[in-house]
Amino acid sequence: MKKRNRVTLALASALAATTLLSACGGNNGGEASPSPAASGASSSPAASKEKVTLKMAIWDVNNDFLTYLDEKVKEYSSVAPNVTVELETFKSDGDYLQAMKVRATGNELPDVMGLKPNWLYDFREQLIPLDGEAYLAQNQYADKFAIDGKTYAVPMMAFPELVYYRPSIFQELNLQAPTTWPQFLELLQNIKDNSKYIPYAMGGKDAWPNYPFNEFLPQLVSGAESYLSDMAKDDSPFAEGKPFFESYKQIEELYALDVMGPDPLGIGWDQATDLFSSKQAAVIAAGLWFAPTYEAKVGSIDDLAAFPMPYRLDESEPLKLMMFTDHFYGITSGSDHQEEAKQFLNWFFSPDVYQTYIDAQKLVSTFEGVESNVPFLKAFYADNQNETFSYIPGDAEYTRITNAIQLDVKAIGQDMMAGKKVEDILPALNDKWAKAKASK
Amino acid sequence: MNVRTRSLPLLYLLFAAITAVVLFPIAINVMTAFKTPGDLMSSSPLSLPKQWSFGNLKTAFEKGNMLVGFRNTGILVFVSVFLNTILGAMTAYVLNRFNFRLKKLVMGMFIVAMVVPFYTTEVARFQIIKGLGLYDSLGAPLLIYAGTDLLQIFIFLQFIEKISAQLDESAMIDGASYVGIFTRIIFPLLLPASATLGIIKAVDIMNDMYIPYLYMPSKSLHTLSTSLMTFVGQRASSFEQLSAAILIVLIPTLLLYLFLQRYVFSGITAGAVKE
Amino acid sequence: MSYSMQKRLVVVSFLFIPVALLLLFLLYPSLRLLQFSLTDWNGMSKSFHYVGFDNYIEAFSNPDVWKALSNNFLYFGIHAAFIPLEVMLAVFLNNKMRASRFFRSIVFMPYILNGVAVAYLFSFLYNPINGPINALLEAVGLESWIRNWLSDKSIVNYSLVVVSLWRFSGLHVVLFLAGLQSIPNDLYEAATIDGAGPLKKFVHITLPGISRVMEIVLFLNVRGALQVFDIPFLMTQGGPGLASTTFTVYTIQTAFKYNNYGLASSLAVILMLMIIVFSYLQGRLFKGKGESS
Repeated sequence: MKKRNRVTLALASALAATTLLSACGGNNGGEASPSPAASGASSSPAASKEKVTLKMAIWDVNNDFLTYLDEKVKEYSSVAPNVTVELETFKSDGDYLQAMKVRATGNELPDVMGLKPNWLYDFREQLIPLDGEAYLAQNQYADKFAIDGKTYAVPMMAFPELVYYRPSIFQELNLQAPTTWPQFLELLQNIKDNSKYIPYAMGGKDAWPNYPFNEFLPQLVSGAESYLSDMAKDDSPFAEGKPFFESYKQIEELYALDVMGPDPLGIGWDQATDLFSSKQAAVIAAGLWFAPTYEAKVGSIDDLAAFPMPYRLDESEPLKLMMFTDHFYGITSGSDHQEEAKQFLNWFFSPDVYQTYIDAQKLVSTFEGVESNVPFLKAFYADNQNETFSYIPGDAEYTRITNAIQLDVKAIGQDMMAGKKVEDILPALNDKWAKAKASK
Repeated sequence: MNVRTRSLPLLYLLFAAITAVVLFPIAINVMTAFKTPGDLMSSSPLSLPKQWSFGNLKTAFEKGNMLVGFRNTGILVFVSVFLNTILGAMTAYVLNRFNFRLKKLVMGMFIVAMVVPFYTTEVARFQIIKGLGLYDSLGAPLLIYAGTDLLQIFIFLQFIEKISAQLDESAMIDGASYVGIFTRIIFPLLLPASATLGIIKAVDIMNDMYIPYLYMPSKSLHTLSTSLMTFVGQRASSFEQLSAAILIVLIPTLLLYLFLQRYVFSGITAGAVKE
Repeated sequence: MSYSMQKRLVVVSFLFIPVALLLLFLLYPSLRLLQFSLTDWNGMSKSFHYVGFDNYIEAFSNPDVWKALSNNFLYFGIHAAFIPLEVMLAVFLNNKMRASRFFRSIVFMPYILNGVAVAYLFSFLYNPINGPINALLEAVGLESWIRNWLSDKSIVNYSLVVVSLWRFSGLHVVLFLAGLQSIPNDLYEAATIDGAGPLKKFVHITLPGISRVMEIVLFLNVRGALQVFDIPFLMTQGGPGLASTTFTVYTIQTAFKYNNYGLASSLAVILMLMIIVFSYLQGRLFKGKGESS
């Protein structure tokens, strides 16, 4: 009996030891051989033919795009045989950001990382400047987002923010696309009164779907592209009479109409888009990136149209179209393979490769010389010629204050959907803002 | 204490109600997993599937990276429980059979460890994992799980107390070393407790989401929990596929439970029985 | 080798790894946590400044923190209220009947199931569109009971606590059962002979008999309730707004969403202190009652 126990114990420990060793060593197989100095870029060009794995990370709601990109980056190995690019994908930008921030603290960011414009300030210490790289001259948007004169990341796509609708429903109910806010509210009310369709598909549970209102409306109403940075100079940007307060009153009116289905806070983005795609809901606001998702679900874009967000109160001022630039790529300062990453980006941003990227995204190109072929966009621009309003993120001071007061406009949107009044939310924000602004 | 016979039917009613509450979610899950997409949209969620389709399970298994999840979770459970049991037994042996200068300090450290909160300390622990080069490797969770906690040591201590020191003494008369006493006498007698504690630790590891989420982002290192989280993130609106993925994650635990439950219960009760 | 020499060797070598793991992965991070809590580190930059107790003052004066804490108390309170029910159930299960063994398995089962799976499972059950719970209520004619389970701020926390109860009550029941089974039968027999009724037996024999287990369960409840994380994190992300945010969810968001590592660390330290204080208070309260037998 004792002998058997000893033998089993020995066997068990041997098994455990081998699994332990293989587990620890196994997944590091892809890593490069230990690089000399971790700090700074290695200046030796393609001399090191050691096997290098570049880690890359990006998010996108569109699964097909992620599949495309995953395969595309693998093609780089045919250009640079010693380099393998490993792509990590996330479906939501919220999850992506959280993961990247966690890794930033441990200095474990991927070599090449995707960014939204409003994250550039947060991550600037983690990125290396790309000034001087050849492709920057071709990029029409990059310099708008320079920080302290340096370009830390390059945008891959731009897109207008739209309000989509089902033309067949509008035809059935004899409705016209609105161009002012009161018209918009009236439209939604009409659909609700008809009671056949849910007027607006809101995925409030995920918080972010309310961004066309709670995030962008203040900027559009202010008319100034630099609005966010301007807020940082103001002691009480949420005061009555100011763009933020006024636009939020407009939003309050919208939510009070109760035109977003029986439980807007109970369903997420995916369920909301299902409602829209299955023609149970008539209207949904999103960026141009939604059209391919819709097309994948429904099969065609015949019954899909859009109008610009009708934020204006009347027709006395021109209606501008919000343009958002996204998918900025940068090289992280903690990367051990900065040279290889730079060469990868050269290939990645080259016209041939970039054409496939923008075609897969079906969005507006950011590089001169490359045109995207998006029928839906062409149709939209045929009916709507609006001046563009670029989204420009807030500066360092804006970021500092908003982080200090933990400002989450989308969560505020959720509170508003639940019935909280603007008068109860914004004054308190003013106090917090002033305090945070003063404590420098 | 015996239950009076005339309240027996009431008792059965209570048990039946509890069983219904426990099994309802699981039954719904099973039914939904086998439904075809159209089925869910068109009929009541409470109804049986019109056709029992295995399509969802197939998709969930392939797209959901489940095989990798099983493998990694399996490795983590097996190795961690093994290490954890041995270390726990060793610690309890030393704390029970010997007196030494820093004993109180060591005990104190384990007590302090009990109150360190799990999730929020990751913020600080992250740096250490990174410093040791364990980020994005199985080594990170293995080491964290291998650490024993006070509860386990207490239970081992309870059992060791019942192992009479006489056995030690007679072995020492025969010239046995302390190590020999541990491996030949103490550890084998601790096996029932080890089995129970091992199962509980295994369950904790199988269910842990946060440590793999933080420290093992690579797809190849996904555990059952993180595989499921990723899968959900990609297919949030398809409840049939979701249910299938959930089912795949639940089944092995359920099976293990069915076969090993008597060890779980006997261990918990054995520790409590006084002689 | 002499025994005294062996002793030194064994003590050191046997304790080396456990203690090293403890120091490295638990105690040292806690110290770093204390350090970070006194700084304004944002988690990403290479530098930070010491700000004294500013973070602690901020933590105590922030109403969102108190709101989150009040959610934790809800978990604690409801679980605590269920403890007597769990004891009762254990009492009912404490017999040799085959049925009882079967029901014991059923009761314990939710505890072993994967938490992520359970969270998503219940998210589906609570679904406002075509959700099983609403369908069930309709089927039995209780439509008026239908609510927006996860989006109504006034009930979202209760919906989440239900999930917690489903998962963990079984564990408590089984622990109590173990305690009950350790009470020797002759105590009860002697009491019957003395003419004691069931209530007296319960109060004077059963309760004291399970006091050890009760202490463990109470401690687990305090520690668990103060650290509730995955249920709100996975099911509602703390929403809508901050309605179902718990202390840990808030801390993690502070650290990673708002880049305020310093504040998050101070919140973590406060959590540690709360666990210690509450466990201690609970222990004193309990000892006071338990000793009167």
